[in-house]
Amino acid sequence: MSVVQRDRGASRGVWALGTGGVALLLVAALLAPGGAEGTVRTVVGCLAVLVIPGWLVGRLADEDGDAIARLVGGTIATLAVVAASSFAAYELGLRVATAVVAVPLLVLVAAAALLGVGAPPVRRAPLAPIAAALALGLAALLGAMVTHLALPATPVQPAFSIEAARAVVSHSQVRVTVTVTRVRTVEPTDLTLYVNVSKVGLPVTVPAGTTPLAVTLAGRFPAGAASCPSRVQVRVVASNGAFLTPPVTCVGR
Amino acid sequence: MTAATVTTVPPADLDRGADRRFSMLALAFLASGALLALAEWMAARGDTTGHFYVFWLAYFLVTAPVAWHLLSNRTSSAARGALVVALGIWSLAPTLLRTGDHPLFFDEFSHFRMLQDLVRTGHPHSSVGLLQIGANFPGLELVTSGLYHLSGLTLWISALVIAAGAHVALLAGVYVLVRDASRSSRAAAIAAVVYSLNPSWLIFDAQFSYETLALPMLVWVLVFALRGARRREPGATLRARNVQVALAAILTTGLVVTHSVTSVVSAAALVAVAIVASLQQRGPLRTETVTSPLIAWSLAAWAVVITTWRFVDVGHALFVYLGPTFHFSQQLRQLLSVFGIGAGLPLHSAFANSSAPFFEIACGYLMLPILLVAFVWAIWGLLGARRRLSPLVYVAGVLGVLFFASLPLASAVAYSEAVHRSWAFSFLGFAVVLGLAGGLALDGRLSISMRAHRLWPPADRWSLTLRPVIAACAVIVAIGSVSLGSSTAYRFGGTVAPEVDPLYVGTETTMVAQWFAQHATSHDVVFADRFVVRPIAIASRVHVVQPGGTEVHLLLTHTIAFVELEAYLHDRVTYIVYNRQTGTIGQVKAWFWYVPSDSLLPKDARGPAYIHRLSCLNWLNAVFATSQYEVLRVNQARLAVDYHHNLTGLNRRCAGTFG
Repeated sequence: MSVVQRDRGASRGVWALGTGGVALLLVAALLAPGGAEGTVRTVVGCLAVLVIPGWLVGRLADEDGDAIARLVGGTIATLAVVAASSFAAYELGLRVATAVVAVPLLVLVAAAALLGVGAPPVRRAPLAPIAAALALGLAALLGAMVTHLALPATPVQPAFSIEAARAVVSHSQVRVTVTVTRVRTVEPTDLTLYVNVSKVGLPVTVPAGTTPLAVTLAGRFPAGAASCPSRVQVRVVASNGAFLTPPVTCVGR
Repeated sequence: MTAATVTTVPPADLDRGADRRFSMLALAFLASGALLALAEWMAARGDTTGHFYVFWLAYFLVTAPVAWHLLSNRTSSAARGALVVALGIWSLAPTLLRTGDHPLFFDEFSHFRMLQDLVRTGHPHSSVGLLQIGANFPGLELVTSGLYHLSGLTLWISALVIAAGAHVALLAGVYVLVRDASRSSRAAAIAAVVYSLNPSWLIFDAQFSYETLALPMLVWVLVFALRGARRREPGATLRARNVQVALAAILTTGLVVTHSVTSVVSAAALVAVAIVASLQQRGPLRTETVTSPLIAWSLAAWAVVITTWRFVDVGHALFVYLGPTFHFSQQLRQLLSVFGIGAGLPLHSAFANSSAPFFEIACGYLMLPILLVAFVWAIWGLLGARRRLSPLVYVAGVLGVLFFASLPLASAVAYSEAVHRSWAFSFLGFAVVLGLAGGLALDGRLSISMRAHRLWPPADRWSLTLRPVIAACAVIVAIGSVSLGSSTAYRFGGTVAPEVDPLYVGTETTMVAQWFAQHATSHDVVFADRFVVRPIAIASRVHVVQPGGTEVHLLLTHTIAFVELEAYLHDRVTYIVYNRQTGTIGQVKAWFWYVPSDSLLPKDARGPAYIHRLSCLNWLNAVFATSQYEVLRVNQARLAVDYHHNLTGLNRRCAGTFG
């Protein structure tokens, strides 16, 4: 193959890649997220940000025909362009979103393609090393992922939660509904209701079973307790010391 | 080298051999990944020792054959490059297995919240309670948000993709940097392997943090700067050189909006390269190397100008952030104390309370003299070849020396974290120096003599003994650097432990974070300890108050001071979250230990915590609780009334009963 033919072939390749890069960026910027369209956008977007600009830029700086240095160096330089241009946009008061990222990348891809077409021929960079590296590396990640999924799940931390949005206090009664959620624990076994420092009734046993479950604690309002609501504090204490002091809503007092 | 082999072995046999070797390597990578997952699983189930052995089996299952192939003179340059990248991808596995599908490490939460805010608002925001300086150096988040916007990946996956790419690019960059400097892929491979022994490389402190992107940018700045400054043959095209210089300048620009310290290191390295290039041209270092001082100085000037601009632009905030780390008089005091001059700083013991097995701890100590011997050997050997050296070697030598200079500070409580982080730079120095010297030694072109005695190459009778010794030393450094680099809690999962980073993350923190996600709004302000506040911050849109702020005094001082109430009013705190075990396990200082100004705390704040007091304040309502955490809503209106009436709102009868 003559030098002229090789040059033409290389130029066509750069043109194709540059045009493809611009097209992919536009597609990524315009496609909607979600569904099949979203999947396409993910693939296209990753190629448009992490592969094509990097390859085109790295090609311009590569004198050794090293695909790895070309792709990796070019991609890091592309990310630097994104960081610097996005920061400049932010300093200028622009909102950092799709356009602020896509426009500099479009310019970069177009410039790299134009420079690449006009450039003297560069050494071919065989892709086999990249393919081999990806194959080996992904084998390790695959082994880790499959094993991770195949092994039984590791036990999670046993814990519970209790929640009460408010306590309702009337002339004669105080009532609190507590939502209890358990994860691998039997706690809290019971809940105790207090008004100020006085215990109201007996502790309520929290039933076993599926959670979340609502447990209502109610009792007679202690005689001589202060006016409602500023001086009343309703407290629910769990068997392990966890407590709630929900805001008090007064009814008819 | 390869040509001799090709002439004696039929090409078809060579292909078959290469295919077989590749298949065996692929199997080793696959098995290693599986074993790494098994080690993590064992640790998460409470295993105490077995998982360490499984981990190291997995480690050497890959690194040993890869190192063998990298050093073998039968391996092609392209194959070496591929193996370095494969090693980089493989090394993602331990941390990916550890973190799973969400941020886990301390800095990750902070950067991830900044990323979330950036995507929501379109502008970088700093949250004082999470990352004081973040919005001034948002490069990583800007790049990640770019990928997020254009790909539609989730935020966390976008972050992982950027982190993974940068991690691999770092090792590949070291490889290319040394290959360019030595014109030997074997030297470059040695450098990559040495860099992979960096204590924070395999089990990095945070996948998604400033340095994740800044370090590969630094390495590639050097790659492009040195390539661009390299003199060409007369008549050679200048286009590639111009592009390389432009890329170095662009990377420098990207770096100054990504990380402060790394941009300073980059500027300093470029200045040093320019100085050495000038001295090599006509000074005492006059050599055969061909680095253009003009281009080197131009790039250095650009780096200095743009870094200075960024630092001046950020101004006071950066000074406050970095000031405690660069307290040179304190550092000097610690260094002098090593020589018995004056008193040193408060120290902590390396591996204190570590659950690492004995052999890891032993390797952690043994690696230091091994590194010293190897470094001295390499520098000594390279001095003999100084007429052929790239300016990079001098920069690398200084970086390597700084590793040993940093060691006296490593055990100082105030500096251990900063020293640990600096090793990412020091190991770049080791990698370059040892890579170049190792490459020369393997090619038989390194010689060391002392008073007419030849020290290197060793006598034939020593050569055979030396190989297993060097291999054993490499094993010790590999194990030692991992054990020295990060606590076992970072490496493996385990039983949830409050106040232990990152083991505090578990069912309870998830419950609390989810509660905030459902109930809190962007107007809410949360005051919580430095642990649980992180999952809350990324699960919801709440603002976060600095965990070491004045608010914490309410829990730590014997009597309630009005300045504490004022802090809650001033910061408009709407929720308080605390762990009821605070002060009963571990130490109270866990609430604020990372805040440099902890000396400002009242003296009586070092005792027990008065946590139950919170349940007796009339301006607080406990609305959610887990086994150990309490979530209390602040009634700001009531607090304001109490404050203006000089009342604390404390119900003393309640405090007497429940407090």
